[in-house]
Amino acid sequence: MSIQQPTPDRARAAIAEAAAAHQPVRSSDRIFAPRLLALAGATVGLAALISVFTVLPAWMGPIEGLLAGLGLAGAVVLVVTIQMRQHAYTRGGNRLFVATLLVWAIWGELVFQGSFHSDWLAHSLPHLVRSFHFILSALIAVVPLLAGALLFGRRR
Amino acid sequence: MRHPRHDLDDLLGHPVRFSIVALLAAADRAEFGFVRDHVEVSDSVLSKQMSALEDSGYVKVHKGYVDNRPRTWLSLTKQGRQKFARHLAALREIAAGNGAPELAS
Repeated sequence: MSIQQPTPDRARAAIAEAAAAHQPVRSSDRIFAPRLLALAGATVGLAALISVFTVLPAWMGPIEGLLAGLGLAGAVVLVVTIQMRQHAYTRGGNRLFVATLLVWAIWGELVFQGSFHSDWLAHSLPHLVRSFHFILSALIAVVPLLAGALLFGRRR
Repeated sequence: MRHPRHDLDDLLGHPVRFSIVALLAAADRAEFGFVRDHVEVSDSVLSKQMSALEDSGYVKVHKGYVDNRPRTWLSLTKQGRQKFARHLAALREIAAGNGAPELAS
């Protein structure tokens, strides 16, 4: 008995199917983008909140603190909820996501260390200017998250 | 010259198993429902084929809970990836016409 083998046409169809299988998985990588954007939003939001409390110390109180905590908890819930909706991911996508988080952690630390150790966030600055600078630092700190989100958003 | 059919994998000769492994080859991990929907098979068919692939060491099944609901994630093992790559290379050889198809007896 001879061994059955696919005809060249069947082999080509199987190869095409294997190539096409990458598309839905790569598309599902796009859900990494909102996860990164949620983190970026939470970071900038927290910086804005801290700035408001600094400029308007009268606003600082247990209720505002609770609201800030709830806001952060909401951001975490959002990130986890988005994560739960992710049903597949590529190896490359997962690596890019982890790499983005690592770069963000290092870059963010550099940005804030640089900001605190320079005149950019000097205590001599007026509260309003210092708060504005603080928010700008936060915006610069989340650039890797935005870049990562952009890369994932462009995946097809 | 060695005929490419010798490199074809018997387990991957089954169309549903081929589709499952082709999808998992593209993924690091994929959820059971994702694979079922894209391969267009029922839960029971996918379970049966997954068991065959898992028993042969091609696929790893990861079970867990999210929100108290069971979740099953599937991924190809290193062996599974190697077998699939070899199978695909053999198919490419056949598609290129290296090895005339034989008639099944």
